[in-house]
Amino acid sequence: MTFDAKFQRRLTIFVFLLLPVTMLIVLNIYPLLQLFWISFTDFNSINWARAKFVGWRNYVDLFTFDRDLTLTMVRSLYYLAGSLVQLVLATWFAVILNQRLPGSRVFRTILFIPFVLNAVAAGLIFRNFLELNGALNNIAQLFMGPDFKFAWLDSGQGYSNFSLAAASVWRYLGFNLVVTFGALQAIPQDQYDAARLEGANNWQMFWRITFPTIKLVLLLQFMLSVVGSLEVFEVPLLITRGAGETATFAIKMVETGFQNRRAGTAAAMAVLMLVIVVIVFITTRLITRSRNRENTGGLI
Amino acid sequence: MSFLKLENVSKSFGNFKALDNINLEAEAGAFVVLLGPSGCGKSTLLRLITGLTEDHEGEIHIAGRRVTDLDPKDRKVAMVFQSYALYPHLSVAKNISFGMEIKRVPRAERDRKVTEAARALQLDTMLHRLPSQLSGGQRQRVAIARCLVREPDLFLFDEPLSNLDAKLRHETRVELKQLHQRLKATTIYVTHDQHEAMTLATQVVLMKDGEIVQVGTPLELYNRPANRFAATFIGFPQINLTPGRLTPEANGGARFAGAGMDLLLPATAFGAPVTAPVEVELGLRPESGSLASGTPHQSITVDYVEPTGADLYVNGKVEGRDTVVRLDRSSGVAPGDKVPVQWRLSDASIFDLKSGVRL
Repeated sequence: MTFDAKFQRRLTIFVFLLLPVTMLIVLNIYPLLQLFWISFTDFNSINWARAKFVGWRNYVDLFTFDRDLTLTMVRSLYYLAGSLVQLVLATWFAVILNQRLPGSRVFRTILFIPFVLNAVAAGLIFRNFLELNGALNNIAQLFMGPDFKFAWLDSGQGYSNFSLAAASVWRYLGFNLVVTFGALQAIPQDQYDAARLEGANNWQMFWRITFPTIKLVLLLQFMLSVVGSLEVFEVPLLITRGAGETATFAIKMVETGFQNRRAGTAAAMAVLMLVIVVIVFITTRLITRSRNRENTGGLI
Repeated sequence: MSFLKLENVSKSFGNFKALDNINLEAEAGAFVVLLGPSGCGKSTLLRLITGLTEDHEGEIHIAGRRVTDLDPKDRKVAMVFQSYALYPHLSVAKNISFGMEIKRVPRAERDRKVTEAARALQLDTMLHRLPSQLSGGQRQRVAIARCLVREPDLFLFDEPLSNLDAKLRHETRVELKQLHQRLKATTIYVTHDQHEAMTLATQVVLMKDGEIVQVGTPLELYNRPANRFAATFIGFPQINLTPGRLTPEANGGARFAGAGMDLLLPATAFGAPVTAPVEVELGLRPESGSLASGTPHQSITVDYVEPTGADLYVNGKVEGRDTVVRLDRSSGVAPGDKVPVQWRLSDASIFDLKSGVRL
C-alpha cells in the first residue's frame, strides 16, 4: 500500500504530535479544568459523591470568612523585597565577574552552588546558621558580647520573615547572577573601549551602556521574582515549618487542601494565584513587546 | 617636529613580544597606514596610541605633547573600530553626541555639532534611527561622525572596511580618501589589505612579527621593497622571484645568471655597487614583462590565463618555477602556448638569497 506524499507528510505530523498532545491533555489541561471545577464545589479531598456545586462561594469566602488565608499573601512582600536586593547584588557581582579578574570562575561557581543544592540541604544549612546556637549568633557574640542571643527564626514574630527572605536570597542569587552574567557577556568590549576614549568613567559606562542593554533581562528576572515571591513554599516550610507568622499563601493552600480537607477553598486559592501570575506575565509581555527583543537573548 | 612620534615602543604579553622597539614619525596631515599580516602587532600599536592598552615601554608624543602616561580620554584621539562599536540602544544622533553628553557640553552646541557632522557624512536623514536599522556603510559613517565631533588631534581606524562587501568597500575607501583630503586630519589606519594601503596612504608602515619592515610612500614600497617580505606582501599577483648568481661588471652594474636567463642589470638597480659574486633572488613584477619582439629573456609555458578585462594575467612555468606576467588583452595567449617574454630590467629588485635584504 502506498500513500501520496501529501498524506505521508500529514501522517508523519500526526504521529509525531500524538504523544506530546496526549500528555499535554492528560497532565496539564485536564487537571487544570478539574482545578477550576473543584474551586466551584465543596469537595472534601476524599469523597467525590458528596461534593456539591457551590458557585462562587469559595471565592467570596476568600475575601470575607477566609480572609486570613488571603492575607498571608502580604508576606510575599518580604520575599519581593528580598528578591530586589538579590537582583541588585547579582547584577553587581555579575558586573565585577565580567571584568575577567583572576578567580572569577571560582567565585561564579561558589555563588551558583546554593541554587543547584538540594532544597532540603539548603534549608538545613540556613536553619543551622540562624539557630539560637548557630553560626550567626556566634559571630554576633564576637561583637556584642558573650551573652548575645537573638531568635532569628522565632516564627511568632513577623521579623523572622526577613531571615527567611535572606535565606531565599542566598539560595537564588546564583540563578540571577548566571542569567545577568550571560547578558553582560553579549556586550562587546569595543563599546566600552569606545566609551573610554570618549571619557566615560566606570559608573557612566554602567548606566549608559551596560544597564540599557541588560534592562530587559533584569525586567524578566524581576517578573519571575514577583511570581516566585507569591509562590514561596519550600524555604519557610523547611526552616520554620511554615508556622505562625511565617506561613505563606502557598503553605496555607496546602494546609487547607490536605490537612483541613477543604479542597474547594484550596482550589479557589490556586486559581486566584494563577490569575495574579497570568496578569504579571501579560504585563511583562506588554512592556517588552514594544521594545527590541534581541537584547533579552530570546528569553521573553 | 613631527606630529606623531613613537620612540622605542615595545609591548609584551607574557612571554610574547607583540611589538619590538618601534620608532615611527608622521607629519601633520599624513595618512599613515599600518600594514601587515594578522598578528604582526599593527592593532596592538594602534591601541597603544589610544592608551586602551597600557604598560608598554617607550614614549608616545602626539601633537608635541607627551601622552605616554595619559588616560585615553586625555590624548585627544578618536577611533573607528572594526565593529564600529556603536551603542545599539541609542539613536544615530545620540551615538554621535555620546562623548559630548559625558563631558556635559551644552545642548545647543551638541546639536550644532551633530548636525554639522551629520551633514558632512550624509547622515542628516537618519539621525533618529537605531544602528540596527542602518546598513554597514551607514554604520561606519556614524562611527566616523562620532570621531569628527570630538575634533581630535589624531584619527585612528582599525580595519574599518573589513566588514563591508566588495562594492561598498570600494565606495567607502573613496569616501575616506575624500574626507581626508578635505579635513587634512592626521590619520592612522590599520589594515592587512595591501590594496587599501596603496590607495589610501601617504605613508605606509609595513610590519611583521612586531617590527617595522619598511616605511615609505606606497610607490616607494612597491618600487623599491626593502626585503623579500615587503616585495611579496605588496603587489598582486605576487612578484616573480628567480634565484640565481650575481657577478659584478665593470660599469657598476652586475650580471645575473639563473633560470635560463643571462642579464646585464644596470647600476641603478642596486643600492650599493656589487663588489663580489653573490647568490641572489631577482624580483620582477608581472607588469614588468611584455611579449618579446627580439630575443626573449624567458619563455613561459602557459598553465592558465586570467583575463581581468583590462589585461591578461598569464600564469605559467619557467624551468618548473611559477611565473606570472601581465600582458595586453589582445595578445591572444592560450594554455599550452610557449610565450616569449622580455622584462623591463630597470624595475628589477634584487634580494640577497640568504638574508632576503634588498641589494
